Amino acid sequence: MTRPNRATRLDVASVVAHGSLRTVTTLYAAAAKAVIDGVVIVTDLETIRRVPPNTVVVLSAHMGSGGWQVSAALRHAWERRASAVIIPYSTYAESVISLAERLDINLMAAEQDPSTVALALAAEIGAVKSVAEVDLAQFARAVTRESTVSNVLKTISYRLGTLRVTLEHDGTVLAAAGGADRDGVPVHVDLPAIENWVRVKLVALVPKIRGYGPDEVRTFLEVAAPSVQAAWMAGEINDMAASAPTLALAELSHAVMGDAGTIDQVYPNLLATLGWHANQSYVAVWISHPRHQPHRVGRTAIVRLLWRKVWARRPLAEVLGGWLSVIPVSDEEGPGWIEIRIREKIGSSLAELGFSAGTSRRQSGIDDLPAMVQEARVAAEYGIRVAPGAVTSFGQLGVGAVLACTDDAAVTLVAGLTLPELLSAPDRDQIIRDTLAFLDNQSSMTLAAKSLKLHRNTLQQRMNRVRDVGIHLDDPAQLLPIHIILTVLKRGLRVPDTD
Amino acid sequence: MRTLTSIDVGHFSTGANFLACHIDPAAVFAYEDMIQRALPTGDVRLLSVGELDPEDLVVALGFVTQGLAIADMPPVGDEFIGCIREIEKKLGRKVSALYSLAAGNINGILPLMAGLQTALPIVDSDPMGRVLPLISQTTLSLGGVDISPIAVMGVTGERATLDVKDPHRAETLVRSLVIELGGWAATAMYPCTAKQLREHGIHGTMTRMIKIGEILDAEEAVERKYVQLVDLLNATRVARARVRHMESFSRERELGLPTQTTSLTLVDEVTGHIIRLEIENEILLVLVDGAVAAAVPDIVTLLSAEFGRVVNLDDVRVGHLLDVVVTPAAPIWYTDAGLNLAGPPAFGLPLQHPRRHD
Repeated sequence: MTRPNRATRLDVASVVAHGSLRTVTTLYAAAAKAVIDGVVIVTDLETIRRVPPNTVVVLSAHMGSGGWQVSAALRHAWERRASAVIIPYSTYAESVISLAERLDINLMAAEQDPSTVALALAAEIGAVKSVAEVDLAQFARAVTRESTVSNVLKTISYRLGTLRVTLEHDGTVLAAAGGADRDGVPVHVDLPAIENWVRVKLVALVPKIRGYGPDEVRTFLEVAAPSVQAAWMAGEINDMAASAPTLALAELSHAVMGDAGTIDQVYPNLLATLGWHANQSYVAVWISHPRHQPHRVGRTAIVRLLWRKVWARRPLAEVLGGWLSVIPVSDEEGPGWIEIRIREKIGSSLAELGFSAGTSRRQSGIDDLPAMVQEARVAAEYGIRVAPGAVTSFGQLGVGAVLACTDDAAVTLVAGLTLPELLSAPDRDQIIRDTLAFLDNQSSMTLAAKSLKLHRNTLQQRMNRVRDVGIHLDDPAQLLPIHIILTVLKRGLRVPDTD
Repeated sequence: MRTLTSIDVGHFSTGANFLACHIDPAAVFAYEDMIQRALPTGDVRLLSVGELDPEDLVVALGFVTQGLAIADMPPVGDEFIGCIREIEKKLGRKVSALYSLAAGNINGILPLMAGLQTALPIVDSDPMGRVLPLISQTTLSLGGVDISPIAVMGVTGERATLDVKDPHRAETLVRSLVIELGGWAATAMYPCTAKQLREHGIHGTMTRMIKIGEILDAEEAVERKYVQLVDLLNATRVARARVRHMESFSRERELGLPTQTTSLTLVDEVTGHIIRLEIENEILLVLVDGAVAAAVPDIVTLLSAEFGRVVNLDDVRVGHLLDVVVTPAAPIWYTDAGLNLAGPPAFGLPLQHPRRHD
């Protein structure tokens, strides 16, 4: 849309310079720019106490005849944030000008009859307001044409001189457009309320020295708010539909509790039918919310809106315990770039919401898709424990990650990542039993040997193997995670718990 | 009962000047001098209204002026005696005690002289609790006590007695007479019983003037005096500011009010506040940055910041550093009826008193 050149609001300086107030004498010109929304002729002080902000107060000849009344009128006008006070020409005194200077309010003297001045100004205000109405209608049409939240915000920002416009929920910026200037007076308008829906507001930062006043900006935001809402809801519907394959994958991996081969046996060619390709590499991203956080209607819409900044073409699917996206990646892209992108785009927002993101290791083909989903989930849940807003890569986890795991499958995944030598060792089962006995007996070799019905020296000899498979029992921080991992692994042993 | 000494009279004069709200004190000082010179001839007895028999007749004494300063044409000396005799003749009974028409300025102190002349005691009460310009602006009037009969006597010896029910009508008639009598006249009015004065007057106001004088006349630091004044009067120092601008005839005035209008602008050099004082016979209004900080019936006094002395309008010069002190009037003046009678609109100021909430 074309940015209009004409001012949609009068200000005192321009009206005095070349408008209807060019005949008045300026006794004091306020430092701050004062806009004009209306004009009123007052015949008593009480009337001034009721004038709306940005009003030019014209004192009647009768009122202006008392010096103290001019002082009191200035005070009342200042309290009401009036644009200016116009007094009859003959009545001002130095003290009145001093007070105007002190209050920093425009003070002018008119030789003409006050009603003549007021009528001329009223006519000029009316003309400008009609221009403003037309301009507002054009703006409304422009925002209505936009179909995404981002574009609606850009349209608002552009129309208001590229000032920063954001869509916010509880202080979290969901989408933004416009300048990077963070200083200014915030003006906000709530999006139209939907029952039980989260409260989201449209915010503009109005610089103090720029052309638009807060009230004017608020008007534009109010006009644009329904379009923002509509674009957001349309995007939400699209994301919901586009996330169906991801949702299906999550549900299938959860229902079948197996790998892709198992899924393929139960539902032949289903993954391929849903759009997953055997010759493509993927990374799963899981966003977790704290377990204690109550579910709120609209929370998914907020996370999806944020996610559009990261990967608009792979929207999040709402799954049990969080949100999931599986992103196709090419081999040219280096490791860690997805995590960096998530941190840059939404890291601070995730922290404000108390959420964390986790990523799986990159995998080729569709065989490991269910495992990727679990890896991403484990990484995200570990991130929640570390710090809200963390973006954690599963590949970077250590054995300590099991402390965040809530089920055996997750612990097994972490074990596969951190103790591969143990899992592939031919004497794995014996190492697991021996080490568990040692840990169960508070690191007492004697008691462990007794529980295993072994000689102490025999167990001592066997424990030398533990370090070979990557278990470091001399690190106190690893004792609990190792204990958990081995306890879970022991449940899967086929051989009875005896030597 | 208390017999006043010459020192008490000096303090009384200072207190009367403090509560005069800016009126030229020349006549007060003249009366102070006269009373002190006459003290060897008799006693000035001050008693509380409770010490009188409830049916005792008491009468208010006061000058009513219409454009002429009393100091410019001093009284002969028998004017108030003549007024008291007229009241006694009219009512057919003896006056038992005198009281001041106003607790401040000339009308505050003059009954002491009349008391010396007549050997009558002075009641420690008055019907204004401060100085107000109109004889109808009294708490006795609020209480429904008759203002008449009113005895009026001018410097020429001519006298009249008025019988009029409505205090406002009495105002008009008395002022018409005063003009004819030469610009001021001695009056005796509000003759009533001690019981009526006790019920509708303001009490302790004569003693208060002496106490104010004791504080201000003491050889003490200004700030120490202010601490004592605040304690005694529940007063507030609104500002310490330097006089920037003076202007006369700053606003229209209604015919009949014995005054000329003046405005004073001061600037508080520490805070930058602009203080505007609107003055008629007394300071009516204090605006701080255009906002009402005090308004009649608040008692506003200007004191020199350096010495803590009362400063009167004739003494004010651009550049003077003054303290603006506000003392609340008697509580009855802040009732709806009180503010209707003596609030800002009664002085042609179309604004609501800060203590009025309706």
